Amino acid sequence: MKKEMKKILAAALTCAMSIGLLAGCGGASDSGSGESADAPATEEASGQEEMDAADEQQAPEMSKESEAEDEGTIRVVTFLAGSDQWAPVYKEVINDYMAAHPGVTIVDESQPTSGTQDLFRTKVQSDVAAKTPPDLMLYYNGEESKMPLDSELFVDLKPYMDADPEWSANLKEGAMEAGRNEDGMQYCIPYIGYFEGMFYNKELFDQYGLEEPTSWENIEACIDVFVENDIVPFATSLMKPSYMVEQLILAQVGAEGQKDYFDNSWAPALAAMKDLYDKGAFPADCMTMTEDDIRVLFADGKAAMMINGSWTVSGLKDNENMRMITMPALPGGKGGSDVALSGFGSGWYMSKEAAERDDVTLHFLKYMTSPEVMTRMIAVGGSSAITCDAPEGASPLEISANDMLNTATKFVAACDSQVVREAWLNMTEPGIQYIATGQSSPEDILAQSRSLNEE
Amino acid sequence: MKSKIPQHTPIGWIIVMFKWLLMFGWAAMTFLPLYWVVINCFKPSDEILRNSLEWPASLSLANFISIMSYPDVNIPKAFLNSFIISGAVVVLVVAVSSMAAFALGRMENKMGKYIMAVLTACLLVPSFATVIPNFVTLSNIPFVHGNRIAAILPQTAGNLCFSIIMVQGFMRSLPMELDEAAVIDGASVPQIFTYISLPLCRSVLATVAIMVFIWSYNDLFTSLVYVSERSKQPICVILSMVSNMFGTDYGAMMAAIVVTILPPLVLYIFAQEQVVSGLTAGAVKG
Amino acid sequence: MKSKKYFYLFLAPAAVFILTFLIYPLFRTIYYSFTSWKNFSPKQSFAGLANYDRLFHDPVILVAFRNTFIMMAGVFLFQVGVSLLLAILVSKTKKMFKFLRTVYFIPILISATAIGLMFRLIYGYEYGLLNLIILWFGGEKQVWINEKTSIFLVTIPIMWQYVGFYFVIFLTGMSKIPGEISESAKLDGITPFQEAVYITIPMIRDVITSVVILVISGCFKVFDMVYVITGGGPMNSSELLSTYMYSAAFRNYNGGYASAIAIVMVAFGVLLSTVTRRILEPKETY
Repeated sequence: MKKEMKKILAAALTCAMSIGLLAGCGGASDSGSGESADAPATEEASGQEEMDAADEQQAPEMSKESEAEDEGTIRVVTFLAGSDQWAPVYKEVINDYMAAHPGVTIVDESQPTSGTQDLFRTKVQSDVAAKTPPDLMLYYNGEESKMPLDSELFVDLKPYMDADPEWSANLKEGAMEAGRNEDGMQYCIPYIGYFEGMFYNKELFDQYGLEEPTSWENIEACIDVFVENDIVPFATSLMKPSYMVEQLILAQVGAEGQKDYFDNSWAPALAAMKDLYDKGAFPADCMTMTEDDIRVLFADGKAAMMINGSWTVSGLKDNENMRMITMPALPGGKGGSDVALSGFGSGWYMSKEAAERDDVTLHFLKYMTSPEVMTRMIAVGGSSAITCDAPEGASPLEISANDMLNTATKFVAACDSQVVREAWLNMTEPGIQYIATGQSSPEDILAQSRSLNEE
Repeated sequence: MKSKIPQHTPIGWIIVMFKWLLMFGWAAMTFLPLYWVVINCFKPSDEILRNSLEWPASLSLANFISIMSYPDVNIPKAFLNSFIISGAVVVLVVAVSSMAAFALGRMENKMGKYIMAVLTACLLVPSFATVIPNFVTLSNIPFVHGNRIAAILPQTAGNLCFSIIMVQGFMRSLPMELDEAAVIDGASVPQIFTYISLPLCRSVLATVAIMVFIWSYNDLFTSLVYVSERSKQPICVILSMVSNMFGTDYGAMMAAIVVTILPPLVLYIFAQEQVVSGLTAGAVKG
Repeated sequence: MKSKKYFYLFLAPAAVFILTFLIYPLFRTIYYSFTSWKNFSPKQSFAGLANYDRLFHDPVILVAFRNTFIMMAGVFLFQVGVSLLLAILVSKTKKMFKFLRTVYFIPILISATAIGLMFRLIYGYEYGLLNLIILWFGGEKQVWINEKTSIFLVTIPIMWQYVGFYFVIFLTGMSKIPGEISESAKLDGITPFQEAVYITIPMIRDVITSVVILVISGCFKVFDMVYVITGGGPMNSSELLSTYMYSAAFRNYNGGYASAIAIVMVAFGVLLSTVTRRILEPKETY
């Protein structure tokens, strides 16, 4: 189990370069996934110039085996649109599929996520409310899977996986867990993964002769020095402190305690936010900064540390002085470098209607989750394949992130995908602001969130 | 009557100065955002966050190239879609609201008061509160679901309250003697509407049309949720594309604003002529 | 004019649109407000008055009401005042008339999101414009947006953006004042100031009433600007009913609570605009 998680997480590292990670890719392309007659999807892949040698070898046999020609229209909704990193490859992959299957039309209704008004979520919410779900959708899992699950408009994918072992063999068990509920229903096939941790700028620590922030004492010691020298210790926005709060909770209560949602044992972690705020460890305008602002602040060397996720690695890796670690345990805390925060935040859902109609959508899903397509998706951002080690020429930041994942023995997903969204947001935005300014106690905020979580 | 202030005294001079200062001062302030958007559309995103006021270091078109390269976005097609959707909304709103405003502003009826109250209430409903019920309604109407019409219908409804309130206010204040004279001459109600009230309302209808066009044109949220196929979506789609899960490309956002703002700006400058001619054509003799 | 048949006939098309896409969703919202509706699930469970109970005990609602009033006061004084003043001045100007009309309108063409971003960059601490100016004069950098200032700082761009909008509406209203009135007033030796107070403003009274209604509804609907600049913070201090409702619905996925906020918002807005209309409208309407 541990080994398997390692593999997935090593895969997660690669996404440091590609800002994303796709499940089940780790060197699995040699297993002849396409040999099943059920996977016509991969046949056209041979036409792809960027295919690696292994795929080129198996491609000809596969095309022989695909028999029945699919016909039909598939409605697909994802958040791979606009300025999203994967959007161009995703589009290419779809076009290739349509070129190889002239009878199949893929209607891509992807919408960008984020921004002031989240079009993607609203689109999916409206489609589900109108009972016109897309045939295939890439949507969030964990707590957010409640919406598609409650609608009963989507199928359990487990039987399909069991029926086609060649295909499902490539789907990593550790990753698949993230798309399964308590009843063992595989409601989605997780696709894109992440990891989070503490970034720091080594140059600033060296410049002031400080120890690197590998222990809480070191962190405490550096704060005063940085504050005196007009360097922001933590580039953290209290408007969106979610990542920092996640790390502090983990540093305080460890992997097991993190599952006791909103327990009072979390209070010291929240109190640490107040402590840091009182010491001036956050930017002066931390109450109104956005994620974009704090990234610029940290990248400009005006802040020493930043708690963030794998998606920021590509923007920082060119700086030789950047490092990434798990936040050290708080005094008396149970966390530390043996725990890493990582997981899979979204996956593919297939609608009942599409499943009952014919196999066209299923074939396309198998294509999207095939090692070949994943390799192409992963290639976004420069790295061309998933390997267990950091690729040659990796930046110091990527190497440190890889070490972080290799040192860890326990891997946990972010809390915010496990609990009721309203409860989590109550605690972080704006709960932390009330705690930091002393207007509410951590226990009060936790009690509020507990009751929201239980509703 | 008090004597008027002579133009050539110092006080008169100060007043004239103050007047021009105010008018041009405000003009300068309103010009600022356009200037700001234009200089920033040549800068990369982090440069905008660091210093959004300085002249760009180079006139790089990278932001324009990046909005052009978003997969699936066909800019000329999107402009066409925008004009189809917003054009239809404007025509519908002007037609429907002028009729309703005529009834409310120029005809006596006990219900008028209550209808106005309902319209005011509807004015207060934010569009994001109606998105989901409306989506369900639209998906039950055949041939409408996901089509351009699916954006036109709710947008028309959303802009009607504003237009009716505006136009009826204007109609109400036109002299009632006009209608009375027409009635005596034997004109029917539709004739009075078509030949007397409508021409007199040209300027207010032009204003309403401009406003509605701009709102519809910039209404990213509803048009994108209601129109599902990218090939039928309006141009403001590119404004939504500049943000992704992990942040916003501010440079691309500025470029997208520049691209989207040009047609309404040109249209406004052109449509102003209509308003001005409406001003002279609708000569109301007092 | 009195004609029941035509009254309803002229209102019918508008009624179809408004009933389908505004009134019906409003009733859905009322229904949702009595349910526990989470995660946009197709199932809601009846929750009685639970959402309203929470609402009346929610301290943020009070802040949101206070802020809505602050914003309304600012908008009334500044936005309506400045736009009326500018409209009176510009309407008397022959030269530059077209130029000023065009320029004043520019902020409306630019999306609220972009203007919000611009102001966020003006207020920013590290790279903000205001702090750059202060540093240039040798002062200390300030944190501009805090709990006490936030609502005022977000009101500024809102007031500023829509001056051009009301300006155009006032100008449209003034277009129907017959030129002879102004000319004969001049012959009587009336000052421009007296003309504005005794002639222009009373003549566009209906337009002013419409504008007041639009201002009230506008203040309830303001949303993206605040959301971009402060996100309703710090500590909910700049929250408005609209931003709080949006957060409840699309950030917290609590559709039931969001619906209750929407209902309170609409009910309060109707009350307020009815009262205003009573006060402003002359007794004899016809």
